[in-house]
Amino acid sequence: MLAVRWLFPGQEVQVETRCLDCGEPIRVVTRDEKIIDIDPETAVGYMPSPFARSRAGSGAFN
Amino acid sequence: MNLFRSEEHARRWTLYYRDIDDYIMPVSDWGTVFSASMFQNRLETDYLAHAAEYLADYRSALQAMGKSIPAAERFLSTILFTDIVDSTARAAALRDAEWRSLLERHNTIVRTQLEHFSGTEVKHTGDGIMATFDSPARAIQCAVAITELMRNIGLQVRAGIHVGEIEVFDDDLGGIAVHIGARVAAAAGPSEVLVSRTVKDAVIGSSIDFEDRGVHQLKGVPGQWELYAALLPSS
Repeated sequence: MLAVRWLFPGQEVQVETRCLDCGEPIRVVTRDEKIIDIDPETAVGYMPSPFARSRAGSGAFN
Repeated sequence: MNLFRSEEHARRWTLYYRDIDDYIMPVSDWGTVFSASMFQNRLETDYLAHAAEYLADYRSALQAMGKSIPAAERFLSTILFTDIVDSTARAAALRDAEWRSLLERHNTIVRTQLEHFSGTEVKHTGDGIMATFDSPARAIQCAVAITELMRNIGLQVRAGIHVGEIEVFDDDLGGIAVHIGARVAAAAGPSEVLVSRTVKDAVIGSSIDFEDRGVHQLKGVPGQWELYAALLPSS
């Protein structure tokens, strides 16, 4: 999602992937910051970044 | 970012980290957050040097989604930058496969030395690496080892080291100390390990010697900076 946002400016990009929990397909169609279509509509993104881990006390970049 | 069919699926994921569950958002919200200029600027070659400046924009984008991040945490650290000398010319003189093979050997040497000297690779910059160390002396020893070992594969590497406070945010490090480290490396000659005065003062009493390389102005950094070439007894 992050990569396609800026690598394909102004273009419609379709991302097809699978849920990391159940393996069922997820499809996102996007153009710039807009989500044109998403299946399923309940899909979410989760980003456990090193920054967030450091905030939680796990000591990223020690 | 990891995609799930629903929030429930995300929370069931093996690697889900409950203390940071506020980083679960609808995909459309991530689309907005990723539109922050901070992420666009990642395509710029000097992104790292300015990353801390872009953080405010990222914070604003998250706040618009009802999320927040605290001020970046700061740590005292030793920052090492390495860079392959004349990498563009070398790449042009070799076939792509040969250049890739050479880069892989370069990466193996760097990562082996980082492990040996307890360094942490922060990122690969394309023609080099950025790494952090708890000890400035170990950073110097590592950099000298890297520059010497690179000669065995026909590469010359320049290295720069600085000690200062760094900021941790997202998956990067930032702060003026990082900027200075990159500029010190840029000022180094082929196979040279250049350090700031701060590093030299921090290792007084060690077996490391230094040669004065004069006073420099580092692009984008206020003030004048004394730089020194690090010399180990065996170098």
